[in-house]
Amino acid sequence: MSGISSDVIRGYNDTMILYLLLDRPSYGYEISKMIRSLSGEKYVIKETTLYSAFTRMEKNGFIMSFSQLAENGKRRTYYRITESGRRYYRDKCEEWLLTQEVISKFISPKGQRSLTERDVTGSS
Amino acid sequence: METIRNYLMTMFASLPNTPQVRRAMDELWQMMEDKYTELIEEGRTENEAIGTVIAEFGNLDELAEPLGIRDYMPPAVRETPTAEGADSGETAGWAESSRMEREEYTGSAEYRGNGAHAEESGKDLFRGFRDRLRNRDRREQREQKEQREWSGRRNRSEDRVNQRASRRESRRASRRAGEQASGLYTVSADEAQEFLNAAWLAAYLRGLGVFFFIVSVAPVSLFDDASGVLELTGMVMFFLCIAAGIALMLISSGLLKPFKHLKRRKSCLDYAAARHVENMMESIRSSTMAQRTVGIILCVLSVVPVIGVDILSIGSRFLNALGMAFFLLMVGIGVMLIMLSAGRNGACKRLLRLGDPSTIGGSSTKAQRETGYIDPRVEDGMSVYWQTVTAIYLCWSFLTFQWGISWLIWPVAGVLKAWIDRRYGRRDDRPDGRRDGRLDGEEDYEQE
Repeated sequence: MSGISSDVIRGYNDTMILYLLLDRPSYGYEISKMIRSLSGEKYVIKETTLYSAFTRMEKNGFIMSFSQLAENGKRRTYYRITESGRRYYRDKCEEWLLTQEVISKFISPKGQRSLTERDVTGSS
Repeated sequence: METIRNYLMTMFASLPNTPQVRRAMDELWQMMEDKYTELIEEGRTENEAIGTVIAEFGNLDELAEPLGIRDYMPPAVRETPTAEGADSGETAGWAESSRMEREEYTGSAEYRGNGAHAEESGKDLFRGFRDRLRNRDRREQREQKEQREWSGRRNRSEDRVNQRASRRESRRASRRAGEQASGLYTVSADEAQEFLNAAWLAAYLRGLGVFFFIVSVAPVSLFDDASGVLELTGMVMFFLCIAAGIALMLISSGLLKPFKHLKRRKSCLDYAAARHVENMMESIRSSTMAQRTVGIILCVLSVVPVIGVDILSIGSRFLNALGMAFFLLMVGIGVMLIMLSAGRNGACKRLLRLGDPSTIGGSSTKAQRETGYIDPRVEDGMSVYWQTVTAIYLCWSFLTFQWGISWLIWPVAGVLKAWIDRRYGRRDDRPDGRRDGRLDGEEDYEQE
């Protein structure tokens, strides 16, 4: 097992970013730092991935960017979630729960099909 | 910090200089800077921090879509699908499309192989870079410890030299990494300096050559009257001057041969080199200005001896000839100085002109955007300007043997060059070229 495949997680980068923006605006590095720590250091988002997610979501109207002076006196681009971003986030959450529900039916770390499942296929 | 900035600039070097690209560069820079600062605050070494930042940067082709720069992606990037791209048909599609035009698509097995390979090499690149830095860190620490054990106190300056060397090495590594990503040959600050040394020497020699061409007439007129041996001496000196001039011209054009690859390959200055050349140009500004001024004054004053002799009307033919000789000498020195100042400036400008001005690499510093000619045809023509003038001068002189007049071509050529530079020179008035390559915070980017 060698970490998370970026292929799988790609569809949910947006969800993670939107989650972090739910209660306050934030900027690039802070978001990447929070993703790293919330995931227990298991997922590190690349800078380019993050930036392309920002631009894509800004284009779709899910987030808005604005620039602001940071504590250290430098200008920084902050991102704020929009109403349609919140809606999209809820949709994605539902989608994920459904996905999780479906996929987990097929997950067996030991590599064996479970009894109940065999019963279902046997009876039909 | 400088290393990271250089890495980013080199990575972006071949991309078009558009508001979107600049904004992306700005924001990526913000993130990298933040990360670097924090890593340093956590107590990592500089090399470790740089290695981490660069390893976690990601892949440029993820930006192709949001920036609308798919077509600009250099082949090296285009054929390097990201880790997630190797398996998904969607990304594979565009990574492949350009190659498909050239060769028959022979099946997914081959592509898969290529993709995996490219992915591997991309990872290798980062890993290699990080490992190099780590190894050096370890080595350095070990060496330092050994040194400490060896002698109670270390030589301070030696330590500094070591540090500088390691910094130079990490700079070089980052440049190579960026180079492979952008597919451009990037010129380092060191190489730029080598070029400048050669080009300045060439300018000196060329100026001296022209000086010989101009003064070559003097001995002839000086010994015009004399007979026998003296006249012969005059002729011999004349031909010696011409020979010296031709030799100097040939040597000077040979000096830049080793740098031909800059022109042949697609290349541009890396960010550090562009800044270096810009500084060099600034530092020679006053001296070249002085040279040009003195040169012009000499040319203007050159008529004084002739007129002086005339007004005094001593009438001696020898004095007249002497006046003429002084006149040629002053014009010769004047033209030499003018050419020298133009040559030194021109060498800097030639470097700054490397790279497409519409890309990031070709416009990262202010000076880069101000050099060159708007029209590429003028650009091509001007690159052989002095060679052409020399050829015309020699042809004209040898065919008509009017050496007394033909030297006039030099002052005329100088003025003509100044006029062309003014008329066709690129000035910083392009709408997309406002910004400096400095990446401090975001500025006036366009919002969609």
